[in-house]
Amino acid sequence: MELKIEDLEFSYTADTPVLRDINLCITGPKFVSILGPNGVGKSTLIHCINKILEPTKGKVYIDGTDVSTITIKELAKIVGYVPYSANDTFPLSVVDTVLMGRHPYSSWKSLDNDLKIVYRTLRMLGITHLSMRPFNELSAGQHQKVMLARGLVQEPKILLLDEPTSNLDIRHQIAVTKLLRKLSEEQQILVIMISHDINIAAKYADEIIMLSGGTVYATGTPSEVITPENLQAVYEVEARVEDDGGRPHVILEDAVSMDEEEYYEDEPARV
Amino acid sequence: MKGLSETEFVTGYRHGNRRKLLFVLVCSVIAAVTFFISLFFGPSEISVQQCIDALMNHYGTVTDELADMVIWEIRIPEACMALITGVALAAGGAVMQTSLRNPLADPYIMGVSSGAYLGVAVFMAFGICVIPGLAQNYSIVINAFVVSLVPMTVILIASSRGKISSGKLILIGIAVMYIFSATTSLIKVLADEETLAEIYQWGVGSLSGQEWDEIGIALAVTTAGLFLLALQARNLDAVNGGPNIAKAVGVSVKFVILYSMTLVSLVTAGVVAFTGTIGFVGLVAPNIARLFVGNKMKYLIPASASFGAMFLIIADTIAKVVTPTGIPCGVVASVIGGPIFVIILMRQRKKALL
Repeated sequence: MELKIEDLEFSYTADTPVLRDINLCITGPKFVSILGPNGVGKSTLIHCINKILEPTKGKVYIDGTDVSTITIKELAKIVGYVPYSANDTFPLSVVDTVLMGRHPYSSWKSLDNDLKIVYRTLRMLGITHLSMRPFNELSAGQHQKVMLARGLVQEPKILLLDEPTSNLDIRHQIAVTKLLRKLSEEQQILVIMISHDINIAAKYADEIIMLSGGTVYATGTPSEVITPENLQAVYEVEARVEDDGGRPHVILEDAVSMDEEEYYEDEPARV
Repeated sequence: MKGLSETEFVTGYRHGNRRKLLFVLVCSVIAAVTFFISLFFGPSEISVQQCIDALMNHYGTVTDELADMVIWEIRIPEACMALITGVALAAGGAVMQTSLRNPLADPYIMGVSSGAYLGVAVFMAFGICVIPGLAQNYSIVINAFVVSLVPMTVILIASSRGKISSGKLILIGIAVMYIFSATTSLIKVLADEETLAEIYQWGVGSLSGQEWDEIGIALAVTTAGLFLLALQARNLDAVNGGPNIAKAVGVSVKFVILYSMTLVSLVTAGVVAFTGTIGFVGLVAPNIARLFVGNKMKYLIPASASFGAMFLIIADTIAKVVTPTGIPCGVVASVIGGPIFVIILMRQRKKALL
């Protein structure tokens, strides 16, 4: 499949665009990681892909179809979404939480089939024993897996993940990232994940999209994108990049000092 | 940790759901039994035997005109109204809470009931009705109905101007409620003694004095409204997951909130216009039902409705037993229900699901 983004711009307020001039063409199946500093618009970008937000300008095409021309229900069958964190006010059981991902397909008669798909997905993630537990009683790692399961039962061609490893310890970060890579290969889907950990992205991603200043700074393989120069320009850190079996590995040395004034200049207030 | 086989998984899931339906069944049975018990109590002095005869003979030869009248024109309508009101307020509360993602939301807090009250106060004090020239009974109902829809209208207008956030909607509802309450208080201050008593009487909420055609209207509005709300059950579950998740699984949050809030307002207005303000059940019934059946709307709506019906008919029966002259059922509901609710919340160890 192909995800194409043309001249995308998004702004919360009229005068200051969060994202501008975004042009991307990603062909999958593949495991893509989006990198970039805080507030650069990583989440905004993936929200524009699955219509959680409407772009102010520009188009998003999936396999040639302009997403603005299809309903969010149709889009939900093509694009799965795993949020940064769950905030259900009234938590459901794990099964019901995951079943929600079957919503775009569901009809009054579809429960048997939906349950089958939910079961297979939970088994693949190794969490069938949690099925009947309330979602809010799970650990952070289990939460992530349940939310991942919900995205997967959408049977998407493209799976978007907003920092799925942010609440996890190192072991779980690696486990989830490896799993995503495996999913992209086995299920032949395009996995696009926002990541804060450059080294984990470097180790597992097929392609890196690096954002800076509200637009795409660099795209390519990890070795092409993760360079000392790019890290300096985008993150304002000094770093060495060493070769780790063909993949880059970042060793941080120092960061550009950040006095208060400069901090506020760089970080546009988020609405 | 041991995983589940597919059969264990499916049967486990279905078993859990059956247990939730059991809760609905138990509440409904208790409500039905209490319904019959309640017919034996009331201000008129009629013996149990007379009650039974009146029930049996109504469609045959009526021997005791007085008992027949008391049972069929006073007690049964009142009991029916208790059930309908319980169902409407509790189910409405459940839907409001889930669509606004806040356990505090209920038709009372969102200004629907206080709107109805203001409508009534305006008619009683000044004789002003939104549709002039109606009989007094209808004028009260129409006023209550129309004004109770005002909070929803304000919310519709506010939300049409851009982003809709549930916190903001609740604040708007509460603000409208305060405006209504203050205005009603002002009217009370200005009213003469007799009018004040009438307004006050309506304000404490009462299930008595219902006519059959009023019950017909309340029943029709409630049934139709709840049917339409039930169709949204799955969408409401998605909205509960948060706006991003809802959209990501293909649900329009704005549509679901406006659709369900409008229907809840209509359903609530359809009962409070006849009964006066009965608070609490809309807040408490769904929250207690959540403890037993969890938060999935497919089960929560019927569970809240059946619990609400049971709650109000019991409260009404107790009210009649304790004082035959009748303290209003709304008062009993709060006095008895309040402490029970607090105790349940304090003793509850697990969060939400049982």
